[in-house]
This record gives sequence, C-alpha cells and structure tokens, in this order.
Amino acid sequence: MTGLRILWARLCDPFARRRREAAFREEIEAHLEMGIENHIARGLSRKDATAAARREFGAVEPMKETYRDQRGLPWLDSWVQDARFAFRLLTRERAFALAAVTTLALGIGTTTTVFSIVNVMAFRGLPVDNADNVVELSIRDRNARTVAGHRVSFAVFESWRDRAKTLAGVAAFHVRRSTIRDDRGDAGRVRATHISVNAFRLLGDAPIRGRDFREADAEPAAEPVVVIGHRLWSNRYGSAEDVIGHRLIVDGEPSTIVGVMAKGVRFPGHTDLWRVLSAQPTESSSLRVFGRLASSASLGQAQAELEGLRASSDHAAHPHERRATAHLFTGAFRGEPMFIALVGAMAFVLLIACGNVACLLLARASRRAQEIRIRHYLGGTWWRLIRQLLIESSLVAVTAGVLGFAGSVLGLKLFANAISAIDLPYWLIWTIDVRVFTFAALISILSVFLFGLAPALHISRAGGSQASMSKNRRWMDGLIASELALALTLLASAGFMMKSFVALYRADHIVDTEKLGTYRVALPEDRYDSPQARRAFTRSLDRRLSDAASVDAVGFASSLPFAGAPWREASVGGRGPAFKASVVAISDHYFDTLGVAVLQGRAFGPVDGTPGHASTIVNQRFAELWLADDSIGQRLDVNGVSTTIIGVAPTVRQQFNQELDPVIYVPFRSEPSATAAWFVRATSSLESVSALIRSEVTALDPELPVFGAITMEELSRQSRWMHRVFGAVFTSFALVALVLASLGLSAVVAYAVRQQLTDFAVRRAFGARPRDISILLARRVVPLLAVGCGVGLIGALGVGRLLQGLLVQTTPTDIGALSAVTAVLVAAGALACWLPTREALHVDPATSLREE
Amino acid sequence: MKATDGEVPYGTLDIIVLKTLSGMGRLHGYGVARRIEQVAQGALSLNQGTIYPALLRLEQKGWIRSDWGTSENNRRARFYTITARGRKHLEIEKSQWSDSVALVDRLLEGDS
Repeated sequence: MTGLRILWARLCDPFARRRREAAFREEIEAHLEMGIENHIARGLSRKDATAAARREFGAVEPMKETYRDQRGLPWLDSWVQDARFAFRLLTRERAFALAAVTTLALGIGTTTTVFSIVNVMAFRGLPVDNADNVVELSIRDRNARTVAGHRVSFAVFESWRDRAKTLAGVAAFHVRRSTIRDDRGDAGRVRATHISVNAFRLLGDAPIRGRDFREADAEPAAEPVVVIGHRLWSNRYGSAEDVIGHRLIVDGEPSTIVGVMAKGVRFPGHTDLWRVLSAQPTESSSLRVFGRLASSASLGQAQAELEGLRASSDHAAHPHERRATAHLFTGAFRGEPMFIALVGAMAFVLLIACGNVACLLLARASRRAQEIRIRHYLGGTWWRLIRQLLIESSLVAVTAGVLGFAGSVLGLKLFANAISAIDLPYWLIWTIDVRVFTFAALISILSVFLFGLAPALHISRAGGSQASMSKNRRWMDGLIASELALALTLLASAGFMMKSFVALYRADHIVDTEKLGTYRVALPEDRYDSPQARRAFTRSLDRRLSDAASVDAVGFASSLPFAGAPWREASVGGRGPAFKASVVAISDHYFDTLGVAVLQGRAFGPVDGTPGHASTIVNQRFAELWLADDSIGQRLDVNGVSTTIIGVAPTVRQQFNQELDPVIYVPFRSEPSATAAWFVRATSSLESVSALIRSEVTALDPELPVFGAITMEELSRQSRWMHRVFGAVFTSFALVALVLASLGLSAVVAYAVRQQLTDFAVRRAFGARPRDISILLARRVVPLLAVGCGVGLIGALGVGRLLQGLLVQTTPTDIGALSAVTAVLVAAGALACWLPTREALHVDPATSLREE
Repeated sequence: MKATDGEVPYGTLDIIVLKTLSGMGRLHGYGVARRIEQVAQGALSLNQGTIYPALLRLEQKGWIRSDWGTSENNRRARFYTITARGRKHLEIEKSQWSDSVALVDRLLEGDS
C-alpha cells in the first residue's frame, strides 16, 4: 500500500510541477524568515540574523535537489524532458518531421484501410453471438481450396444433424429467388431462403414480431409458413403490426406470415423471406450446411466425424474424390488470391513506409552523429541516447498513427461506396471496430521499433564513427533497393489489374448502352409449365413493347450479358474435341437491340428454332477458337443436339476469364426459359420505359413481377467491379509506394550529396565538369535502381501468377505491362535523384571549401 | 572514535521527525527543526534544511499530512501533523529501535 501511495504521489508530480515548486519555495522562505526573526529577537542585527539563519538551514540548492529527486520519479522526469527535447527538435527540423509523418501516415493509413477490409472479410464473421464457433460444413474435392464446393444432400445433412457429436447443432439452407404476391401491391420478386427450422435458434436470432419456425412446420402436412425480413416488412407492409397471420403467395404456394426478423438479419445473404426447408427431391443436392462447434470439439475432430457420417450416408458417385470439410465462415475468403494479394500489398506498403522513415532517421542520425557523440562524452549513457531516438520516433509514429487511422476511416468508406451495388454476403458490414483501432495502434508501436530501434542500435554500436557512416550508407542502400523492388511489384499488380480492366472495358463497349435498360420477368412454373405458354407470353410482351412509341428496340434472352450463363459441351462437325461454351437463348432482335451487328451470316429469323431448323450463332471468340475459315453452315453439336451455325456475332462476353469467353446463341423460341432478361432501348428516356414495361407485364398477367431493373451501362459497370475496385485499390497502393520510394531515394541522394559536398567542391576546383559529378552520383544511384528493378520484376512475376485467375487478356509475363511499370519506376527514380543532385552540380567550390 | 561527531545517524532522521510531530502536534518545518535542536541540546549538528526531504518522504508514505496555515508571526507556513498510520508506524519503529539497541548493547558488552 505504502509503496503504491509513494508511486502515485511521484507519478502525479510532473503534472503539478510548477505549483509545487512555488509552494516549496514559499515554505523554505517562511522557514528562513522565522529563523531570522528568531535571531533578531535574540538581539542580532538583521544582517547577522539572516546569515545565522542561512547557516543553520544549510546549503539550500543541494537540499532542493534532494527534495526534487524524491518528489517526482527521476526517470519519468527525464522521459518528459526527452519528449520535450524531441518535440522541440522536430519542430525545428520541419522538413524532416513532415516527410517522416507523411510517410508513416500514408503507410499506416493504407495498411489500416486494408486491415479494416480484411477484418470484415476474414475476422469478424457473422453478425451473431459467438460467431467464432459457427462453421460452414461442405463436401469438397479433395484438393479444393476455394469457396465453391459441392453442396450437401439432404440425407447427409440429416445424418450430420442427428448424429454429429462434435457439433452443438447443424442447420441447412438453400437460396433462390421467389415471386410473392398478395393483396398489398404489385407482385414482387425477393430473395427467399429455405432454411431448416432450427436455423434461427442456432444462430441466436429471434423474430421481433410473431414467432420463429417450429419443428411442426417441417411436417409434410403442415400449413406453409414464412418469416419475413425487416426490409420487406417496412417496404411492403409499412411495418404494420397486423402482418402476422397475413396470407402471402410465394411461388404460387399460399403461405402464412408467422414472424418478422430484426433489421440487419438477412442470413445467409440479402434474404427478405424465409421458407421452411423440407426434404423435397428437387432440393436433394443443393444444400448449404452450417453448425456450431461443440465447446469441447476442434475443427479437425468435427471434420473427421462428419466425413465418417458422410461416407456412410452418401452413396453418390466419386466417394474417394470428395470429403467433408468444416471451416469457419470467416475463413471463406482467406485462400482467395485477391485476398492474399490485398494482404500482401498491405504488408508491402507498410514495409516501404517503415524503410523510408528508417532511411530518413539514418540520414538524420548521421547528421546528428556529432551531437550524439558530444552528449555521450558529456556522460549521456547509450541507453539515454537510444531512448532519445526512440522518443523521437514515437512522437512521429503517434502523430502519423492518428492521421493514418483517420485516413483509414475515410478509405473504408470509399471502398464501401465503391462496392455498395455489388452482391456480396450480407455479413460483410464495412465498419471500423476495436480490432481495427488496435491494429492501427499496434503497427504504430511496431513502426516505432522498426524504424526507431534499428538506427538507435546501430548508433550505439558504432558510436557515430566514420566506420558507422559507411555502414549507414550500406543500410540505406539496402533499404532503398528493397523499397524500389516492393514498389515495382505493387506497380506491376496495379498494371496487371488496370490492363485487365481496360481489356474488359473495351470488350464491353461494343454494346451500345445509350438509353438501354434491362429488366427481368419470371414466369411461375406452375402456370407457365409448357414451352408453348412461355413462348406465347414472351411473344405477346415483345409485340406490345415493340409497338410502344417510347421504345426504340426490344430484345430478350435467357441470361444477361456480363452476368454469367450456363455452360454446355459442344463439338464442331460431330467430330473433333468436345469443349465447353456459354449458351444463351436469344430473341431475333437481340443483337439489334444491343447495337451490335452480326459479322458473318445472319441473325435469327422467325423460322430459326422451329422444328427442323436447329440454328445457332456463335461469337467471334468462339469462331477464332474452334472454327476454320468458313464458319457459316458448319455443324455444331451442343450437348449432343446437332445444329447449324448460321452466323458469327461480335464477342459480347457472358463472364470474364483470362480470355473473353466463347458463346453459343440458340433461338429463344427453341428453349423458352421461365426467367428472361429483357432489353429495351428507349427513344427518349428510360424512366418512361420502366413504367411502360411494368404496366404491359401487368396487363398480360397481373401476378407477374418485373424486377432487376438496371441500365445496361450500370450492368456492365457492375460486372467489372472486381477489376475496377481492386484495380483502384492496387493503383492507390502502387502510387503511395511509388511516392514513398521516390521520397526515400531522394533522401538518400540528398544525404550522399551533403556528405560529399566538399569532395565535389575539390573536384570542381581541380577542373571536374558538372557531368563528371553527375557520373559520380549516378554510380551510386544506378545500381540501386537496377537491383530494385531486378528484384521487383521477380516479385511482379509472382504477383502476376497469384492474380492470374483474375487477369483478362494479360499474362503474368506481359511485356507491355511490365515494361510500362518499370519505365514509371525509373522515371520516378530519376526525378527523385535530379532534385537533390542539382545542388551538387551548382556547388561553388570556393564557398563550399571556405565553409569547411 | 569521538563520543559523537554530531551527524544524525543514517535513517533515523525520519523517526526523529515523526517522534517530534507525535509529541508536539501540529508544527511547521522551522518548528520541527527548532524542537529537534532543543531536545538534542547541541548534540546534533542538524542542517535544518535536511528535514524537508524527510518531511516529504513521510508525507508520501502517508505517515504525516500537511496543510497551509498562519505561523505565530503571521506568515503563511506549511504545517505538518502526524496521522494515525504514522503513530502506529512510530510504535513499530520504536520497539524495533529498542530491540536493536538492546541487541547491539549485549553484543558490545559481551565483547569487552
């Protein structure tokens, strides 16, 4: 207790120093005054009394010193002193402080931004209690590393649910879109999730109105019930309390709303409506399963048990090629190349920033070697001197940390805005949390040691001697070369992404997006169960829309361009190798509506797709890959059905891959799908068209929803989001890295110039021309750039390989991209060297030597 | 060795100050110093200033407390008072002191 009290009193001391000092002085003066008066009372003169009182008191100053030593904590005192000194120093050397803080703030800001993204994707997990024991259970290929896995059959799910002991509960779901209709407004299209009745309980989510699903709801004879999401509740029902018990027809099935979930509960992603999952044959192999780990079990144990249960209940083919896996939801993205690239880029930027500040401090330490040596001779211990350097770096780091953290809040906001339209799992909520703050704090502290301790240790060993100067130089050269290499690697990743983005952009812009809107209409399969019925509907809607004055052109297709399409096996001429291609069923005016002209042959006409006229159109990419010169009239087998190629269309991609994808078009009338994408080009504005299509669809069938309204421009933009967003992310990283590396290089050259100024002056005095001086400096800088570029290019190849799956018309060894980024780096390096070199070239020999 | 060189034995100033405050009640620094000199009757050559670090030590330990008041000659001065904890500590110190004095006495006598 007493010890604590003393510590507290001492800790508080520095903060009340001035007041206490004054009080103490007053106390001493009072003491002396009383002594003097006492002596005067005994008959001494004032002068003698003063002398006597002072004599009795003893030496005042040493006593005060002892007193002060006891009062505060000497070490705390000296820390405060050092901090004040460091602050004064930094405000004096504004250029240095600014460079160091900027560098580190950029580094911490970028790194923390990425971390906050990574945090949301890989650490935070589902927005439920105890999210860390929620595991996703799946069956995968033996070597599958990515998210896409094989879904689980209902039988396997049941065996896991009923028999797994390593799991505290197992639930399943599958997601689809459903049409809803009732007496409250237009028919709607929502994302509906079929979930097992225990799912909400397992997640710990309870409805805010009504009730959760019950076991009885899953009985085959049970009346169909649904739980709706908060969004649907407020948008469609105006948050009305009487919604419980309301009748809602979901995909033609009359159901009762029994519950409303809280805002933000949209498990497993953007779901507005939940239905009861039951063992229907159509759902047999499309389940996704999750569970909570029992407190005593590990992931590995769970996996082993699940695999045993799967093997005994799943009699499907390929038992040896698949296995059960259990993994954390938060692990979903961890193996993704983009994720790894992000984390890598984050580390690179931080390394560059630290390297840079280390260089700045080293350069400065060399300049301060004199001061430090003197302080050492005057009795400053090395510890005290190192501490001084550490305190200086802490000041820089704390300032930079605050700025960087603020920047990362902004950065995450920008990122969230950039991807707001993208359909990502709902549990990705782009906010900052304590973990992000801790991260920022930690890297700030880490950077203090990284860039503060290295030069400090270095000085303590070498004591600022001449030998240490050249050692400094080697350190700085190494740091700068590494920085250049890292910067080049980042530049290359940005280059790859940008090149891919441009490739996609150019490819997509063969579609004329001007006033072109797309809408989706889904025909319920119960009432439109025959191809004839679906054909009839699309024909009527096509005619009605084409006749409207506000419509320029109308087309429709089974899939939207850029948004994926089913694959089929195809082979040319009934022989040759089979290959996969996207297949899209299109209307006769599809290409006209998109504004692309068929290159060879013709577009579909009214006869194509009728019996005996199995025609196909392929895109140019397909023709390049699989067809010889004369494409038209060749036989093409699609999933075993023989067709004739009647035309070649320009390449409008359905998905992205390393190359634009080959597409086979078939006439819509031969394969009328239930859900179709409609393309409408307006004569004046798209708004009137949106209203028109809704009213025309309602006129044909009031129970049909029109959904997914989006302009073609936006659709194509969204399809490139990955390249756009991550291209931008990598580009900003690369720019930060480039700026930082250039700053570092510039600092190193400036340092070299300053050290050798006298040398240069002597050389100039003996007749060296500016060119000779340039050559001298170049000898120092060129190897740095060369090593940086060399190592950087190796890194670039690695990054290219990592990102390969995302690159479009770009290879990891893409000469164009690599030489472009190398040129950028060299140019930036040259600029960084030029500024400080000017000083060296214009040095006046006489002035410089006189200064010496 | 002389009978006394007048130095305050190391570590005992704190006890002396504590004892003084315990006997005299509320005192300012000068009063404490004067009182010690009177009791020592010239046996101690005390630099009056040295009691201040001692007073600070005692206050930090919570054995005495201080407040500002007015001295006999109407000066603002800082007065010190012993606390209950201080009294308790003084008792402990006193018994320890007499124990060790007794021990040293026995040792010294046994030696002669």
